[in-house]
Amino acid sequence: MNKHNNMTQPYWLPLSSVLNPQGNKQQPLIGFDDEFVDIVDYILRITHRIWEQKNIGLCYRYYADVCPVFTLGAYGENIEDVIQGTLKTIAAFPDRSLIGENVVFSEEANEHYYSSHLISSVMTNTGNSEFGPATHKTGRVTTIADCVCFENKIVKEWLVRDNGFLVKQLGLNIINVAKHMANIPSKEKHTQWLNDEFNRVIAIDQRVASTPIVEGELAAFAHTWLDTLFNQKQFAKVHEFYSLTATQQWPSGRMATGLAQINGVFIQFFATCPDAKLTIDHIAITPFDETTTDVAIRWSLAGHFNPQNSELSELKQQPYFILGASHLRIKNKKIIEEITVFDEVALYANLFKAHALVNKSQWEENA
Amino acid sequence: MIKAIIDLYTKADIEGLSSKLLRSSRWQQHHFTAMGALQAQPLWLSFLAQYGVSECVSHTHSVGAERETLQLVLQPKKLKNPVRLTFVIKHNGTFIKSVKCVVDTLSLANNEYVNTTVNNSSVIPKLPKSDPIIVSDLDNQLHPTTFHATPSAICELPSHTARTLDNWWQIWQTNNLAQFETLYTPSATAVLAGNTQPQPISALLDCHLDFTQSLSRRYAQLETVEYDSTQNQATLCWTLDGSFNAKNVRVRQQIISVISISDNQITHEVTQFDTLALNQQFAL
Repeated sequence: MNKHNNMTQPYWLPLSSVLNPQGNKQQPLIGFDDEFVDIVDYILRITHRIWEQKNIGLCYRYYADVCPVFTLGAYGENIEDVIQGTLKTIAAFPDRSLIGENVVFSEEANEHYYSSHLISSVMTNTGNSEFGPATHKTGRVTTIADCVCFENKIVKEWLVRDNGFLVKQLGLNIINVAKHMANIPSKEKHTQWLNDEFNRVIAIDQRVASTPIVEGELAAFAHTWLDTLFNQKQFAKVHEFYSLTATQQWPSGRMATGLAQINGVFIQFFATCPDAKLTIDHIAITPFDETTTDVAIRWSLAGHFNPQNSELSELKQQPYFILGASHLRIKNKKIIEEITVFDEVALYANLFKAHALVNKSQWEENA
Repeated sequence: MIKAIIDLYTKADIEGLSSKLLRSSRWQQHHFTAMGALQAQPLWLSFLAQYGVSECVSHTHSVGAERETLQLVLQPKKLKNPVRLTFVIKHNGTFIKSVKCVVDTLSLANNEYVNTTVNNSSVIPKLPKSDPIIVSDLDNQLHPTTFHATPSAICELPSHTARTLDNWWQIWQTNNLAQFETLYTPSATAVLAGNTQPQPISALLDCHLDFTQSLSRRYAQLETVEYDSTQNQATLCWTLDGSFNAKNVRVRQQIISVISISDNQITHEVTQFDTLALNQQFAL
């Protein structure tokens, strides 16, 4: 666990303080611009500059030329993909705010830093977007951006956004939007990545406890949390992981407080993929205050779809893959707050795409 | 913080309260979560535009370990009768991080405009679009092996107060309605959504029974409990999940209860919830 005492912590900071850090340098940050006092400061300020100040060209300064960006809905390979994607989003949602709520980080080998940035945005959909024509409605959305940073540049990124909750606020139907997005062709590399990841995760033995990828009590807690509830579906043990009034935010508006409601979210969600298997792909752990610690987990889920909605019945038993991220706030060895993010719209769009491909190949075989 | 909120309604001081909010602050009102002043201001402006600047009829204030509670009874200039607003506020002295605000929309809907240039005799509150949440169905039973929050389990309380509040919670969690006989003083009063005036405690029993008739498979969940020892007063934020019988849809009502205790009995209770927001949120 990172034990720096005076790292930037945005929880109580107004934007003016975020933009003008007064503290001393907390990390060596070799190769980074001198102005940054720590990796949290770096992430918060470059995010503001690029997206809120609309200095999209700063991507050239803060992203490596080759920078794989993985999302459930698309794959970007280089700086030009990042810039084009950013411009399209800003055009469709011109007033988008990016409010840095937290940055959980880890110091990795060879002067690399890993940051998991929890972002809330409020944005008005005044232009056509990947979801369809402009709705002129405002919504708020949660994003978690996991980045590998090296010498002042982001060199790899995993991006998850709760588009399900956003499209509902825009007055749209998640399934209709997913069908619309399924018509947008995927890059071959994205399809290949999804297939590779599905095969990697589905191959695990979910009955066996996973091996912690980092050392420490809280990393072990995170693995047991995921093994017990997600892989082994032992929902009666939810009290071993959550406090009595823990809050939970899951995608598309699934909100819960307390053990019964949290159990309800898990059971209803996992019914859509009863054979789900998960892997923890990264863990970062950062103190929040004297008694509380934040744990950021990037994870992958694979299984087969069991639709709970008749509109999706044609997708039954389709291979099902999620790229997800969770931020846990832990106190006295119990989760007091969980925010889990993945893109449920892209999830369904991928299912529709795969289904169309299967149908097409069957049709060609029959022909 | 308290003054900034009062000034919002009595002086239309939007700027004063805005300066207390961070961009990440949550202001929950009408089952809608506004982020920062950007989204909270339209809520405040809508209230001021529809009802005018208010006179503060009364305000009470209590301080817990993590949150403060403010209860306002306002007399808006444009309305004939007062309206109650209840706030539970988390702040650090400089900035507000979160506010749960319950506006009694039932009493607004039962209100009338003073100068009836407006064509309707009842006031229809303009509500923001509620958060499109999913209320996942759950096992609402209290099995011997499951764990459920109680006031004393989540808040440090003097032992007598803990017993009183835990018994009070049994009314809602396990329908232990016999507690009404012993838990409240004979002269205890309740202020319920829809009426700013104190009523006999039997009105609270009726309110409970109304919930039981409209919601089946209910589950009560505590969110926060704050206790002010100087006033012997507790503020409980909680939710009531249930299946709305008429439409077979799962709903969640946000509730704030402010309980005043004397000699281990409840002397006064304010229970506030936003019925019209619930109806809108779940299309009831």
